[in-house]
Amino acid sequence: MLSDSRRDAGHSGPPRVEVVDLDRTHLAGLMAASILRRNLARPRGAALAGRLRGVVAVDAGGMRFAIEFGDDAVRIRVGDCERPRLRVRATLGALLDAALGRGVAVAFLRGRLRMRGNPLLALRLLPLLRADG
Amino acid sequence: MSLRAAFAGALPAHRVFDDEPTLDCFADDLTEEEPSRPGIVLFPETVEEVRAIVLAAGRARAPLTVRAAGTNVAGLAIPSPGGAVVDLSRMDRIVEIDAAEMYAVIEPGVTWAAMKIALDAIDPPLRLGYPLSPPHTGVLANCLLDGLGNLSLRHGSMGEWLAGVEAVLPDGTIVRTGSAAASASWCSRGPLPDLTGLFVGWQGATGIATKGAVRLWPAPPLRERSFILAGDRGSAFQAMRLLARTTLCDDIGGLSWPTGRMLFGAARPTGRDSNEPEFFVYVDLTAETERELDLKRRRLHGLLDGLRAAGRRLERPLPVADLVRLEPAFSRFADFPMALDFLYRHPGGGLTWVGTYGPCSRFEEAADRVAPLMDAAGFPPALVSRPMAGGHFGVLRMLARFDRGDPAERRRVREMNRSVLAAVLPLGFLPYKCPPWALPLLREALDPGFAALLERVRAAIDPAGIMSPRCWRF
Repeated sequence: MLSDSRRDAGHSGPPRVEVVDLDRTHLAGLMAASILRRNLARPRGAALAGRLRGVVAVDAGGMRFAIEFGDDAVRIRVGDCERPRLRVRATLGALLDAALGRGVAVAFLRGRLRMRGNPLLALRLLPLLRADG
Repeated sequence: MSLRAAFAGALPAHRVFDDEPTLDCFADDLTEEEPSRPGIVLFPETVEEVRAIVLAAGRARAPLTVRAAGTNVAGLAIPSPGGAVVDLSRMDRIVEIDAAEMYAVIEPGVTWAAMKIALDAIDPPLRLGYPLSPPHTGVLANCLLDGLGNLSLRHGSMGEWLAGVEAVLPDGTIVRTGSAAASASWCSRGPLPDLTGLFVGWQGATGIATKGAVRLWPAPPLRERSFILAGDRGSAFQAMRLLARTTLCDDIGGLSWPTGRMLFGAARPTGRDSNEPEFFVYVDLTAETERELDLKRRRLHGLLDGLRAAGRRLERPLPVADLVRLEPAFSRFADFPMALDFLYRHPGGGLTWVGTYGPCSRFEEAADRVAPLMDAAGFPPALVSRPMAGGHFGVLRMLARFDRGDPAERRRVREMNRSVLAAVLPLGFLPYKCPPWALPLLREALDPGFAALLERVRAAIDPAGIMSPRCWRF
């Protein structure tokens, strides 16, 4: 389910990206936060993120983290999470390629990139995790 | 007699400072070393003024500490209490660039940034190797302290890049070494006895270098830097050693995971995920043509494939341009001179390291020894390494950022550095830009004959003991 609750709640400006416990966050989480931060600073990315809610679990070559789309912020939290709306699992190389906009389809076909859960959320999330999104 | 009176006449009064705020500025550096306020700060602009300063210091028995940018992280720029600081930053002329013989004669205040600008204007292009230190730091000081740079894999440590120096000895003699001792050209260090070595690694204890001839090399038109994420440090070191033995790369080096995280703003990274790459290996390829570059890329990929087949955990090379797209902060690694300001611009402001040269074959053993020591002291194991001189030896640096305002943390860093050096010395890792605190440890390992010769040379050149009194005093 995607909702417009953030807009309804009267927030203005792009949602901020927070890294929960920065010093403990691994490379994959830090990189995702950096990409999200840049994309959310753009109107299109902010609008896209503003409509997302819920938790996405990411496993990047074994480095696990959650992206929590909340009312006030997007949070990156290292570790696994229960009942995410979407699970993304990929090799580190495949995720880096995806972030660079390369070979996403091939990675899917070869099983280097897998997603489970809400496909609509996946479609909206992918541009936010693109380095030039 | 006051120091101001002692140095009166050596240089114009407007370049002599003994006011409290200025003296405070020259008392400290980035490291954990205790500050020590000088009694006077002098800014010479010519070799004659340096000579006059040295003679005046000899008469007044005033200790001299020489500095260029003052950013050394071994505490070498910290003066003797109440002594004189000779700041050479105003001697910043590029005296000559001889493109035909490929060298530049420079004064000590010439910075890496200034050299880059000067060399970029030359056609056909020449280049110099750049260190990891900031662009505003001095070229000659780094060479004289036998530091290292991005051409050290090919050409060894920077002391070897010097073809000669002009120096003022403690008795006021002005000496030229290398081929410049007997000709107008600074093109070679030999074939005369190698007196240039009398000023390399001596930390100013034998005289003040006022000029130096630095070797330049042709700059290939194509350069490509790639990063390889290594799952563990063993894989990284193995890749570095293998690549060093080929003629494929201009530079190879590695940075451990905390350094990467610091780039993203983590203050004190902790808790490495077992699946997180432990090392970033960087590789520089250069070529005259696209075809040559492509062949080198293929060869690099082939060597990495072989390592992977042998069980090494190495991702495929990622061009730095891609990394910059993923994280713009990586642009700091894209061009020379690099500005790794995240290492020293942080709350707390402290930066220290134990920097060593040692055998590449023992990188793993050394890292295995120091990582737990750093961890126990509360610092992440930030390691930086690079094979040098074609892999004949390599650098292993253990970095720590810390809070300079916290006396307990300064003490902790000090103790950690001592334990780290004590752990790697027996493996053959010797401190470069040797900090004064390391001398007692090094002394135990030194050949007695070497130590005695060092002291005899020093005493012969500087009988009054005024030059760099904190350095090389056992």
